[in-house]
Amino acid sequence: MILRWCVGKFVYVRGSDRPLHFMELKRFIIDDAVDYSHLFYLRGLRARRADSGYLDDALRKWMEGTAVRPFAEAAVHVLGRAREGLRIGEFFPGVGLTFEYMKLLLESEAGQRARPLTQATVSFEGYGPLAGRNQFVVLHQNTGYRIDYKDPAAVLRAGSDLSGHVLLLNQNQSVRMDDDPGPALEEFLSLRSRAKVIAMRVTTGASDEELMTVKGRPIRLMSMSQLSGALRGTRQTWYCRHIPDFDAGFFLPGAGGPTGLAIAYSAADAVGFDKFQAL
Amino acid sequence: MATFELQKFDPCPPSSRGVFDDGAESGTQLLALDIQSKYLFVDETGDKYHEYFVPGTPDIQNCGGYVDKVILYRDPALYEFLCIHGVSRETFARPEFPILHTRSPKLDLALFSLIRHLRARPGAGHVSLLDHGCTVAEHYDLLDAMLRAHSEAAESAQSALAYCGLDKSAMLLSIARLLHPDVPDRLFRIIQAEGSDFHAQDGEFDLSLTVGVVNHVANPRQALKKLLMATRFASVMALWVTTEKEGFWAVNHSGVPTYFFSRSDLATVQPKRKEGQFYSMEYVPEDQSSQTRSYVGLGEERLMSLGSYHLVFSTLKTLPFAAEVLDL
Repeated sequence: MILRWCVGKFVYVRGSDRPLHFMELKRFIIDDAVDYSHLFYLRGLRARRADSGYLDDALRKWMEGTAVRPFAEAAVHVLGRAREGLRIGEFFPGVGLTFEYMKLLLESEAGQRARPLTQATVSFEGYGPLAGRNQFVVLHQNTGYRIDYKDPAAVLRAGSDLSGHVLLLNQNQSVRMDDDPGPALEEFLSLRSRAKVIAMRVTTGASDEELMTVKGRPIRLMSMSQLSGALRGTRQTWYCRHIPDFDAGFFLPGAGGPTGLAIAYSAADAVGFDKFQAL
Repeated sequence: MATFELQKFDPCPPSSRGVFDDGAESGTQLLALDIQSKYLFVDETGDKYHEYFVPGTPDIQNCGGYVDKVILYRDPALYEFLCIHGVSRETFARPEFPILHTRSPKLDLALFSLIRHLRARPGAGHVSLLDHGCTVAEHYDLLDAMLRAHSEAAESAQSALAYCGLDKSAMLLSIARLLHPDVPDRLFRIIQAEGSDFHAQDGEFDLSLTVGVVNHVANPRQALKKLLMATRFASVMALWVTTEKEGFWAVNHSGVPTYFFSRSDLATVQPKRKEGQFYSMEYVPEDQSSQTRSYVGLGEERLMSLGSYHLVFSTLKTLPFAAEVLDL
């Protein structure tokens, strides 16, 4: 099927469906604008600089679309009682939204812990495409936390010691940002680590399906049941939350069944919380 | 299951005549516009097949564009490039960093020369700079890179500037402060105000900068007058103009009214009690700009009468860079 497409700003006379004007939008507006806005909203909360003029309904709506909140909450949850030497590594961190949300959560709960997590005891590592390095580093350097950014292939090479890490696989972010896929779920699950958290787009059908994103990239998504099977296969206890129809319009209709987002975590001493159910 | 072959298209190609060619003021009816930012897919018959919305509010979109500039300006590779090749027009014209070919860095280069010029005066302290429509204060970052590169890191924006950013967006000002947490408040003021409704004393700032913001404030001529009055030595600006006799209003892609100044407008905004004149560094016809689709409903013929000046209004006897007096 041939489809003609464009992305940009359409101006209509109210009530008309014929555009009066069209201006193509650049990638930094299409892809990064929400994540930047969201990141600085969170940083404003951390610095107690956010004001009511900042968080309007439009930004709130788009922030919910990043799904960073449940992902970051799960990531903080799996830290459990760990107190020091925490290294958190995220595959496909984008602008580092998950880390920023985790910082907010960790700092918010600091007063409730007998031995609070501090900037000296937590470090963040992003594993993503080289093109994203400067973006990540500029946005997170000089914020008090140790940060690093690495090539995922180098991290996955045999010999990388990640056994002390909490590892996050943000496949949702790589799909959103049209990054090259990988690592595969099986490869990620095979890594030794202290704990793991994943966010994956899934289909709700019986098997995996190939869909096309609005950016024109064909992508094969696992089904929810396949993902559950793969997680059970690790012989560890996983807790999972499924968000049906999450950002469903991101895939062209007609090429596959309904989609959703699955967020799951596993750690030695983890228990269920919020809307996460044991698999 | 369907498989797709995607072909890019232009849903609204430009035409020689536009529906707003006579100016937005000349109509007798109010016109309501709906503005949507989205992906649009149409089938072979031209019917809508799918649409997917992306953020459309100006604050969020501006955040995307201007934070992205900060990231590019803070790239260590750019700093190294400036250290090796020097801070000059020739360096900016090299191919390695295309961002330096764009409008704002060229204006920042003029500001950089003026800052150095003022800093070289005996007993000079911080140079005060008003950034009119500052968004996230991205100009501060390129000025910082240029100052450090030129001085082998002996100088920086923090050591050279008393910066004051003015914008109407609380969100963008908040981000500006969060992006510059180590600069003390006395050297990094931010003011939330509409661009033609701000208060400044005569000559309060040594330098000022505005990149087209005076074109889309509530009262453009008043804004430009105020800016020139508030500036002691030089105001650097990008200003959108028409070659027609009278200035006129159009509507930009965000639905914001935008005023194109005429030459006679420029003659009237010049402060009468002050020495000084306009100098032109560059003129970019609108049909040669990087974004020719900025204005709604203007035809190609009308666009030919539009363009943007890179100007300096200066009271200095000589400018530290090449510029021609603008004959008004």
